[in-house]
Amino acid sequence: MLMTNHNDPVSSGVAIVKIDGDKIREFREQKGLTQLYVATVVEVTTDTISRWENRRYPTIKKENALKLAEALEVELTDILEKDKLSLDEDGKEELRTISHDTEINKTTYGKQIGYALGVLMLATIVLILSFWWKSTEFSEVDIKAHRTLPKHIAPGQTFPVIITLTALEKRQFSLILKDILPTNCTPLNGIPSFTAMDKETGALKWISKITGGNKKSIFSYMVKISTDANKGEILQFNGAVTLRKKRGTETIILGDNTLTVRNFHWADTNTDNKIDDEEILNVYDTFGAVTSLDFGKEKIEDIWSGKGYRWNEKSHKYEIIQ
Amino acid sequence: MTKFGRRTFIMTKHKNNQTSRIWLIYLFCLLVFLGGILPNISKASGLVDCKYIKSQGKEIKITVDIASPPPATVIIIQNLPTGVSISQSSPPVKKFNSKKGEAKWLLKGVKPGTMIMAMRLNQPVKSNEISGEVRYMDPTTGAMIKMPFRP
Repeated sequence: MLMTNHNDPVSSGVAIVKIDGDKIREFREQKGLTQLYVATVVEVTTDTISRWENRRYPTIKKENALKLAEALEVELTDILEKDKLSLDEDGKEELRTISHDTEINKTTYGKQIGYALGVLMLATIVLILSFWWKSTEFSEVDIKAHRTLPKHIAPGQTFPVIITLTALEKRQFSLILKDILPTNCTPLNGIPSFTAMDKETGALKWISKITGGNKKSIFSYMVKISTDANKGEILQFNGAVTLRKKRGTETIILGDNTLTVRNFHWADTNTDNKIDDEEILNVYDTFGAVTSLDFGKEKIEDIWSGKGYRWNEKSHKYEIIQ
Repeated sequence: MTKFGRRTFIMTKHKNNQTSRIWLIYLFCLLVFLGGILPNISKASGLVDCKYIKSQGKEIKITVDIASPPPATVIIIQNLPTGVSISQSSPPVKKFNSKKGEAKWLLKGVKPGTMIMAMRLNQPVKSNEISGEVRYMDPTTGAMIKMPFRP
C-alpha cells in the first residue's frame, strides 16, 4: 500500500510504504540470509530490520523498501502489505510512485550537493578568517622591516645591504631606522643618505617618512669589510625601526642578519668560483631595484662573461679567468 | 551470476553509487579551484616571449615581447653552429662562447613591450641550424624560468 507523508516538509515527494513484516522474515529465512546481511545492503541497523520484521515499524520509506526487496531478491510488491484496491487505483498509484521515486532521488542528490557546498563554504570562511587574522596581526605591528644581505664576503671587499619597510595602513609614518654594523665593517654610501653615523657603536640612522598601504620603502647602503677579517668569521647585524607615535616601541629588522667571511664573491652563492645565469639574475632581482646603488655590477658582469674567477690572497682582489 | 556473487554485487552497488556521486562533486569543486589558480601560474611562466622574424642567411632578427609585471633582468641566448660568430649586434652581445657557439645578452631594467634584437653573422646559416633560449626569474615564485625558442 502506498501512502504519502503529509507531515514531511520535503515533499509532496517522500513516499512511505506499508510493509509486511512476516513476509520479510519469511523471505529472508528462505534465502538463508542474516539480518546483518540485509541491514548492510539496506544501510540500516540490524535493530531496524528486526523492528520491520516484528511490525514495530509497519511503514518505511519506499527507498528503503526497494533496497530491502533487492536484498531479499524479490519484487517490491512481494513485501508490501496487500490491500484490496481497484486496478484503476493501482494504475494511478503506479504513476504516483514513479513521480515519488524521482522526488526521492532528487532529495538524496540535493542533500549531497548541499553537504559539499556546506564544506566549501566552511573552507572559504576559514580562509577569510585566517587572512583577517594575519591582517590584524600586521596592523598591530604597524610596520615590518626586512634586511637582505649576501651570504658571504671576502676580506677587503664591499657588499650591499637592503632594508625594506612595509606598512599596511595607507598613511605616512615618521620613523627612525637604525642598523648596527659589525665592528670590522665600514659603511659607505647610503640611499637615502644616512641621517647620522655613530663610529663608536657602528650604528647607522635614518630619520625619514614612508608611505604605507603595502608600498615598499627601501633603504640601502654599501659596506666595506676590513682586509684583516678572519676567514670563517661570522658578522652580525642588528637593527630596529621606531615609529614617531610609538616611542619606546621598536620593530626589530627581520630577515638576514649574518654573513660569513669567505674567499668568494658575494654574488657567487654556490661558491663554485663562477657567476652563472641564475646567480646574476638573482643579483639584479634582489639588488637591482635600487638603481643608484653601485653594488659592483661591472665586476659581476665581467665574472659572468668570463669563465670564472679566483681570489688573490695577497692583493685581496678577484682575478677573472678568461 | 551465483547467489553469493549477486549478493556481493547488491551490497557494493548501493555504496558505489553514493561514493561516485560524492567524488564527482569534490572533483568539480577542485576543478573550479584550480581554474582560478592555474591561469595565474601559466601567466607567470610566459612573461617573456621570443620569436624569430628572420632566421636564415647572415642576418638574424628576434622579437622579444615582455609582459607585465616584467622580470628585473632577462638573459637571451642564441645558439649558433660551430665556426659561426656574431660580427655585429643590437643590443651588443655580452658573452660569447666560441666552443659552444653560444652568445648571451643581459637585458637589465626591461619594461613591458616589444623589442627587436638584430645580429649580423660572419657567415650565413640555415633556420634549422639555430635556436635560442630566454631566461629570467619569475617575479612571483623567484624560480628561474628557461624557455627555448626555435625558428
